[in-house]
Amino acid sequence: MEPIITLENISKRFSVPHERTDSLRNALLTFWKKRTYEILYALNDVSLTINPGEFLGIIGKNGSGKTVLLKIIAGIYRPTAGRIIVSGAVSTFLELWTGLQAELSGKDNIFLYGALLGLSKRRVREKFDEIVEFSELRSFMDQKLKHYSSGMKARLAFSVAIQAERPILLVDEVLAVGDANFQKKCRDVFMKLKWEGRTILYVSHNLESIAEWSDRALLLRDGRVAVWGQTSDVIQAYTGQPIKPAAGLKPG
Amino acid sequence: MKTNSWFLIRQLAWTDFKLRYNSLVLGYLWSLLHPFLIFGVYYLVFSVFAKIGGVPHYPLYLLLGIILWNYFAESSSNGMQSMQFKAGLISNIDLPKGVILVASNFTSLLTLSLNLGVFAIFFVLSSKRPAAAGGLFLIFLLELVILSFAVSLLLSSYLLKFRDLYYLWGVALQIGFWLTPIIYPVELIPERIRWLFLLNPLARIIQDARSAVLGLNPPPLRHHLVSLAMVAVMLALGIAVFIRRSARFAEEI
Repeated sequence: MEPIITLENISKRFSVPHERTDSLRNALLTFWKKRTYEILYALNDVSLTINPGEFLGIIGKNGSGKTVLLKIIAGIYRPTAGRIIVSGAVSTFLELWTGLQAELSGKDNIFLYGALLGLSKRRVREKFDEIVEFSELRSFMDQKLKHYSSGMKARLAFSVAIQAERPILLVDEVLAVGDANFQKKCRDVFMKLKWEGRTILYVSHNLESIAEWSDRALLLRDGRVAVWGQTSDVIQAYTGQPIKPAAGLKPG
Repeated sequence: MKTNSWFLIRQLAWTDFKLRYNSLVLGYLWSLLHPFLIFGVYYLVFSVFAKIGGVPHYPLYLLLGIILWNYFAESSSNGMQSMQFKAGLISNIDLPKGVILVASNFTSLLTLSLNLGVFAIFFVLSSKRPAAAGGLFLIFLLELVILSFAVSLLLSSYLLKFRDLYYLWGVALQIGFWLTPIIYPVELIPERIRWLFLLNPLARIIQDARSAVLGLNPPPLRHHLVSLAMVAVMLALGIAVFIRRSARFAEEI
């Protein structure tokens, strides 16, 4: 099977200058000075292949490069070195709330956010009721978003995001918000998306969900691939102890 | 994805427009009022106190100049900042960055249309007949829109790297207003140095647009070709720089 995503020796380096250089004034004043940088490897020689329809769980400590990896695959960041092939359109579920506007109504936000995620106007219209139903926010649709709680905002954004029709989904920590009931619904949605054959890269600190959903898992440590393979092995390498079997949660 | 860019541009522009005006007390009215307030003051100073001679229909001449200049100032400033305003989007979604800039320009264009609508009312009320060359106005308007877009491409390409560009551009606009023939006709500039002022494409476009609408002495064809060439070069330069720089926006935010 042809992999849908291939990463060959991908590195991402950030140069953090010791002195601020983000103004013309500083750039001119320090023109004659030698600038010194802190070189930071967010990703270091990462090679991966992901098959179509695969659910890859990604774990690792904060700052281990999980989000940068997703952003490179999404095309938001350019890799410093290495080669990447992504054969399919990508939808990103990173910081879901960033596309929302506090001063607009819930309804307006659904259209705006749909547009941002690459949906067509027709698609948003067709799915509008479904989106509202899923978000459980029908009675708030005409209210400005600034009157929503953060959980409500996340629900709204997530409800729109799952309508994205692209084959590759990059998901960063979406379960951190929402109550138990909503999380249950999210779970059903992910199962459905997986069943539809979407390729999903899922970053989370929630190891239970990783264990439950992933076909394979990846552990990143300091920007390098520490372990990549069978989910239980990867989680064990991360926590240092075997995972408790989550009875009855494993999908068919 | 490309097919949905137009929907995205409209959504972004409409959102901008709503956000910009709904928090202001006067609402949409403000965008209309602004150039007319400025017009009132300048008219008082330059037509009642100190007289600028030699321009027929001076009030209309001045008003149109201010409206066009305002569009340029607004669209270039907002375009410059549009990447910063949409920082959250750029660092989380792989958007074609040009779409954000086009949307920002659309918002300014909407304000311009409203202003031109009011200008049209004044024009009719002053019982002036449309000049024969009035249709050319649309061409000059298009030149103005493309020039503003080109300048926003250049400015937004560098604002994230040099944040103080914002202040510099504010100063440049203030100086530019007086160095561009807006409240005075280009004929008022000594002939010896007039060519210097006409190196500024904005000066040419505003001058030509007003001549077309008010039926003043039209410049020769050669003059128009030079203006067109200037605009084309600016646009090409803007696109080239923007494409090269925009790949780094997500990291510079």
